[in-house]
Order: sequence, then C-alpha cells, then structure tokens
Amino acid sequence: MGADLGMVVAMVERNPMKRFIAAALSAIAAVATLAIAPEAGATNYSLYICGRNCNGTPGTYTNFSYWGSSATAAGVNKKAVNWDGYSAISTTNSAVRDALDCYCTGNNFCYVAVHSAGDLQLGYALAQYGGGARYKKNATPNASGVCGNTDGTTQTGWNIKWVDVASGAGGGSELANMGDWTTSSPLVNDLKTGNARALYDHNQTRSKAFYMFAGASGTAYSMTLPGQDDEAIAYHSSMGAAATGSLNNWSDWTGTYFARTNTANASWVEWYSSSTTLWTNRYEQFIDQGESYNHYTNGAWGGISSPVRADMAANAL
Amino acid sequence: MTEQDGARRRTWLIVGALAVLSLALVFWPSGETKTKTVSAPSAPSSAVTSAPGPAPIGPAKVRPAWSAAAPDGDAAPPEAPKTLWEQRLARAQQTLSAYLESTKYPPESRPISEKPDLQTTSQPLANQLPFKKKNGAARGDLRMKTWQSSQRLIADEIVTMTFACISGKGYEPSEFISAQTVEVPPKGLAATAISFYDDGSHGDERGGDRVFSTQFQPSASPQFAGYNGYVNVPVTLRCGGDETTTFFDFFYTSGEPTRFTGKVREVVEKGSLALYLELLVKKAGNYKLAIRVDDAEGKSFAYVAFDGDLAAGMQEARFLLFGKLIKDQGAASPFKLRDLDGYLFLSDQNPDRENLKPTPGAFHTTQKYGAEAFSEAEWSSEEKDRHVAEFTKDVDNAKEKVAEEQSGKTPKEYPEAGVIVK
Repeated sequence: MGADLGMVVAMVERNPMKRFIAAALSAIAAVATLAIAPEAGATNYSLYICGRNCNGTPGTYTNFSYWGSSATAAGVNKKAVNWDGYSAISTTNSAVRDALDCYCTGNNFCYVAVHSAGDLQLGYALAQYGGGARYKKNATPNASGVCGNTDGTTQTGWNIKWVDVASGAGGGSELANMGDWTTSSPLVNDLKTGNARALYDHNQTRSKAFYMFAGASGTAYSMTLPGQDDEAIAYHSSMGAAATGSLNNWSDWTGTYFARTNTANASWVEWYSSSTTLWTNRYEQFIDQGESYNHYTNGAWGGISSPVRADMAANAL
Repeated sequence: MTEQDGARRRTWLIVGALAVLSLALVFWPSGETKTKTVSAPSAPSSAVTSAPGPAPIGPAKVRPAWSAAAPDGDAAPPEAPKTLWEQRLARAQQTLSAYLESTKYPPESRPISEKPDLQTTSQPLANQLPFKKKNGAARGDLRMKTWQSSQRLIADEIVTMTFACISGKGYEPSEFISAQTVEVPPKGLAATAISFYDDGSHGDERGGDRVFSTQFQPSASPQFAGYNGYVNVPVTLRCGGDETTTFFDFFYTSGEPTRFTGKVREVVEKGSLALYLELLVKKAGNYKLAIRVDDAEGKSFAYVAFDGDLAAGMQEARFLLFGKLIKDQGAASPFKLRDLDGYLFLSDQNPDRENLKPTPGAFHTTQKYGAEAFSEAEWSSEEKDRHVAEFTKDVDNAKEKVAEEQSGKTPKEYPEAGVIVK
C-alpha cells in the first residue's frame, strides 16, 4: 500500500496540495499497517487429543476421523493429535509432545480439547515434561508430525490458554479394573483407577485451567461404574475428583453430590455440596443433568464431544 | 365508513399487530436458551431404563438440610453473559485471573492444600467392584470390597491385601479359592501362589469376621528378582453360592535407584529457603521427588518438588521452599520436613519409573528463622511473563469487542443453540 501511494505522490508532485494530501495518506497507511500487523508468526491453534481406540497415526494432524467431520467448526486452526489409543501413555506421549511443540511454542498459543484417555495424555505431558525446555517450532510438520526449529532457542513448557476435557479418563475407569476391556492393551493397565491416579501429579497442570465436561448417559455399566457415568467413565474421573467415589447429579440424591471446591469460578454448580475435592485447576464446565450425553464421538462429534466442540467453536479464537 | 368497512379495518389492525408481534418474537434476542446448560437432544434410541444399582450398604441417605434452597433437576442457573463476546470476555478474564493467582508461587513450591491426594507418602487403595459370576453376569445383590495398604512396593516392603463380599446386610460368608501374582505385561515368569486368611493371621485383623487378608512380600518370591513394573493379583473366591474373581494391582521395584542419607543442608536464597537433601544415587538420571513441610505448630502447609538430573554418586537434590508461600501460609519455623518420595523417571519407556523407598514421617527439623528472612515477592519467570502478556491481550481484545457490541458498532452474536453459556 505504501508503494502504491508513493506512485500517486510522484504523479501529483507538481500540485503542492495534492502532494501534501498524498503524503498524509502515505503516513496514515504506514501507521495503520503497523497497527494491524500481527506479531510475526503469532497464530492460535486448537489441538484435539483423542482417547482409547483412537487407532490414529501420530502426526496426521488433519485426520479428524475419531472426532467428526473436519469441516465442522471446532475452534481456530484445529489440529488432530492422533496416537494408537492402545499402547501405554508413557510410550505414546511423545506424539502429544511433538504436537505441543509444533503448535504451542514461540509466538503461537494453543487451546486444547481432550477426550477420554486424551486427558491422561495431556496431564502426563504437563506434569512430567511441562517444566522442561522445549525448542520453539515453526508449525510446519514433517511426515512424522515433527516440526522444525525456528531460531534454535528454547522456552519453558508450552503456550496453552486452557483445556476442555470431554469425559476425561484422568481418574481411570472401573471397567479397566474389572477386566471389561481387553487386558492385552497396555493402555487398559494405565486406565485402572489406581494406576491412572498414580501415573503423575494430576494437580500439576502448569497453572492451566482444565474445564471438565461430564456425560451421564450411561446405563449398561451402572453396576461397575459408581455414581453417574457415560458408559465408560464415571463422574469421579470426568469431573476431576481427587478420589474415586460415587458422584451423582442433583436429581439422584441417593449418592454423594458432586461439589466443586475450587473457588475461582462462581456458578450454579456451587449449589451442590459434598465432601468431594477436585484436583487443582479443575473447573466443571458441564454437568449432564439431562443424562443425554454418552462417551462416544461416533466419528460425528457425538456424545460428550458435542458440547466440547461447541465450546471450542465459541471460545477458541 | 360502513360497518363492514369498520370491521375490515379492525381485522387489518389485528392482523398488523399480530405481524408486528411475530416479527418481534423472531428477532428479539432471547436469554432463556442461553442460560440453560444444555438443550435436551433426544436420548439415544438404544437407551434403556437404568438397571438399578445394588442397594446402598447402610441407612438410606437423607437429603441434606443445606439443599433446601438448591434448585431441582434442570433448573436454570443464574444469569450468564449473553453474547458470544461477553462469554469470551468472561473466559479470558477467568484465564488471566486464575493464572495470576496460581503463579504467585513457582510450580515446584505449592500450598499443600493443592495436593489433596498427595498429602503423605502413603498410597493405600480401596475399591468396591461388582460381583461378577464366572459367566460374566453381575449379581446385583453382592459387591466385592477390596483394600490394600499400598499401590507401590520397593525392595523388601510388604503389602497387606484385604477383600470381603458384601450385601445390603453386611459381610457375607466367603470361601477363598486361589490367588496368584501376574506380571503386567506378562513376562512368562512362574506365578507366585498367594493365600488369603480369615483366622486372625497373615495380616488378618480378626478371625471369622468374613474379611480375608494376606501379607505379600515380592522380594521373597523368585518371580520378582530384579523386577520393576506392574503386578496384578487375581483372587478367586466363592460367595453366595457363586464363584467370582476380584483384583489387586501394585507397582513393584526390586532395587532402589537412589537412597536418602538423611542429611539436609539449609540455605536462605533470595528470600526463600533452599533445602538440599543428600542422596546416594545408584542410577543416574532424571528424578522426580517430593517432600511435605509442616510449620512449628505441626500444621502442614507446603508440598515441595524436585525435578532434575542427578549423576551417580553422592548428590544433593535442591528443594525450594518459596518465601512468599511461607509468608502467605503464616508458617513459623522451625519447619519439619516429612514424607519424602519419588522415582527415577524413565522417559518414553513402560514402565516409566523406578520408585524410591519413601521416607515416611518427619525426617528433619530446620533451624529457626525470623520472618524477615523470607520475601513477599511473587514468583517471576519468562514462562509466566509470556502467558500473562498473552492472556492480558485476550482480555483487552474481548473488552474492545464487547464495547463495540454495546455501542452498536458491531451486531451482537449469540452462541449456537445448546451451547453452554457461563
């Protein structure tokens, strides 16, 4: 724009008034350009970390088949963080760290959505690696999903704004305890409630907020999963309770009521009260009072992933 | 004007009024759906009536008195921000304020109240699981209750494991059949048979109370020589005429990758108290360790972590008890350090750790320090600055957008139907 105006200035140089106006316009254009130009390379991304049975290949950041149509609005610059959804968290977490390095370092920031065992993946990454030095990356992945370094310098941890957790399995599932899921899967061992809870310090999220979305449309496994569940994960896990137990919706008052003791937010959920304490930095964003949302995305943004997707679409800009 | 003309005019007036009212209803922004947490989609066609869970053990629960003022069922929450940008502003403000609050202290030096599940080194585990018959069908009248003294064992430590079959009437008579230890994943080692007792021996508290216990020491079994990893213990028993299998799990580390010598060196550094714990490191690597700290009155106030590389040999691990944390907690010295635990972290491996033998209870009392020794200054770092700058920018941007909406410069947008507005 400055160059075009320069040509205009040359054309009208014989007319002082016009020359003055053209110069003023050039100055205004230059200032406007400076004012609106974004910080070099600063981009926000929305990362989606899948869960058990993901059957995904690390680095296939455009493959949203686990979640739903990639054409559906689900946050700015969305990227699918895929892994096999079968092996142990410790041996597959590198795929998650590669994605975080790619899109959440340097001038770039991320919103992150996780489903099911994706909660374990992100929690493990933050607690075990989140305080370490990470190379700043250029958000241009190779075939393996690894990005190149920008300037060769490092930073501490990743640039994450907040996390949406769709039916998080951070607290494990009693279905793993009982052998209801295939015991040959190393991930199922991680998903036993005791193992999941001991895998890392769940309170260490590098001060990032985890917004918990809990589904309650579970029926088939009500004998195994205590309290409300979405057919795979009970409320004690999906709401981020610091201990296992039977947590229920308000209308099911035969059990222990879910309560949030983090006081940073004021919301109607505070009308509930019980002795349940959450892990630090957990905020319940959605409690399925209507028992309408089950665990399964069905590759169509279904189940509990539906309100998470909507929240990301609305807030991940 | 004839009577017919008058009627026709009245009719058109009514039609016109109805049209205006209809338009108002279409275009007038409604706050109602925005405050419901969810619009109720139809339940999945495969949904069935919930099978009733087992009758709770003990007296029926009484609705608590505090609930009198609380809403029922799907009652709407209080008024929430209405437009998308108001919602985004609320999220951005919350993100910034929560981050600032949380980062007053460094990540490694936290109020112990933030670690509800890590208050001590003790890791007992209690479970209540369904009673499943051999054919996989669950019995609604019975449940299995299990308890174990620890989820992790190191070297020569012993775990106590307890089970009971329960019904609405209490503990049911059971017959122990068999149990054994299984490596996870299987390594093809010869399993170790375990017996459970209800005779007051082998860790059983009281004979004949229908509660079965055993004490197991992995180091006494050849199966676990040199072992490091998960162990599963399936237990088969009979109760109420049916056989079932219940499970215990723990993590066993046969060796000790490092050992705390008991020596602690204290140094006040820049208004915080650095505690250097001496370790005899047998295996070099990345260590993740933690201690808990009580004040002079015995009140627990801090959880302090170490995350760093240690070479083999005699080393020191630095734990920083942050000055502002001491001040904010009103903690007076001398401080008691207690409950050291942690592990050698084996990155990208399964298993990913070798556990240290914990040092339970108090192991060191510090010197006495005056309050002036410790600083009120908040934690500062590049990581914190980077996030605060970004979160502040988000708040400023959202405020600008809200102002534009409120001034009419831009049209108001509302969340899609069913989106939670908080």
